[in-house]
Amino acid sequence: MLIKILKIARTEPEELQIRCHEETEEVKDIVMFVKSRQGKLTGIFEGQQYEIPVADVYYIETVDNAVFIYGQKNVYEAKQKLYELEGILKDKYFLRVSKSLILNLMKIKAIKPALNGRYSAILHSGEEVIISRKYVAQLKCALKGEMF
Amino acid sequence: MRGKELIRDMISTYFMLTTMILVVMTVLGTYFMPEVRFGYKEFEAPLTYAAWGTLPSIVLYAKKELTMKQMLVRKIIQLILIEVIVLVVALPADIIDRGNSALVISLIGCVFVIYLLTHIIEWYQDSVTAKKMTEELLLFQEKYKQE
Repeated sequence: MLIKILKIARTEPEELQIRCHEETEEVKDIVMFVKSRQGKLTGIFEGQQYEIPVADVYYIETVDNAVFIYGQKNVYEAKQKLYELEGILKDKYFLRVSKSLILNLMKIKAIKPALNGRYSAILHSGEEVIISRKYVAQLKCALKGEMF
Repeated sequence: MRGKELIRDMISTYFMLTTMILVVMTVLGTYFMPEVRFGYKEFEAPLTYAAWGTLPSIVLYAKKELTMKQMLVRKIIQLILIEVIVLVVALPADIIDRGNSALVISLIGCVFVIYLLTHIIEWYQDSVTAKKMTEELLLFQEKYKQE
């Protein structure tokens, strides 16, 4: 695929146009990546594709090799891998808190102990997710603002 | 708990148990058998029993992160296994007098109390840390919400 970048005047709106013969999976991935960079994630819920604002996402988890985006009410299946989403969301106050979960720090209500040096994050949705011992030091750094 | 964490935990548990076994032997021995004198050979006992006592930590191993309830259940299983191992190792080896039921019950009680105390202290320390993290979290959210 030929890539062209055309610089335009600041007065004109920025635009990304993909000219393709067919909307292949590769093209869809590119669209998804661009959207996620713009603060929106693409997820599938009951067969329908939705665009979820990053600020509305509570956490993202891998379950049996599938990646799920957890919102206030719905759970969407994502097409990207967890590490890809982690990379995209690292500047948006998301942090990996266990091997299979990245958490939106803005959605945590409180933190409490969870046995064996682990902690539990109580979310504004009422859900609780485990913060693995391995990632506690990283969380402490993040809360001190050292990572954002 | 994953492999590396488990091994690290087992090593620290081993040294903690060695110390605790020495404490229990001193306390129970002074009370029940003050006349008994030990030789150098007996110094091996805390080291051996600590190694046995470390083995039940394996029940905490899990590939996936355990929920709070799952961890609690495994902790209870760990305590039961420790009690069983202590009895299985100590009774046939004639370390304690099998006929002295008060001594056997005291031994079981000591293991339980030590296990409970260790976890209460750990929970208290974690609660302090969690409280501090929650305070920092609220400041963090306040700071970055404004941006």
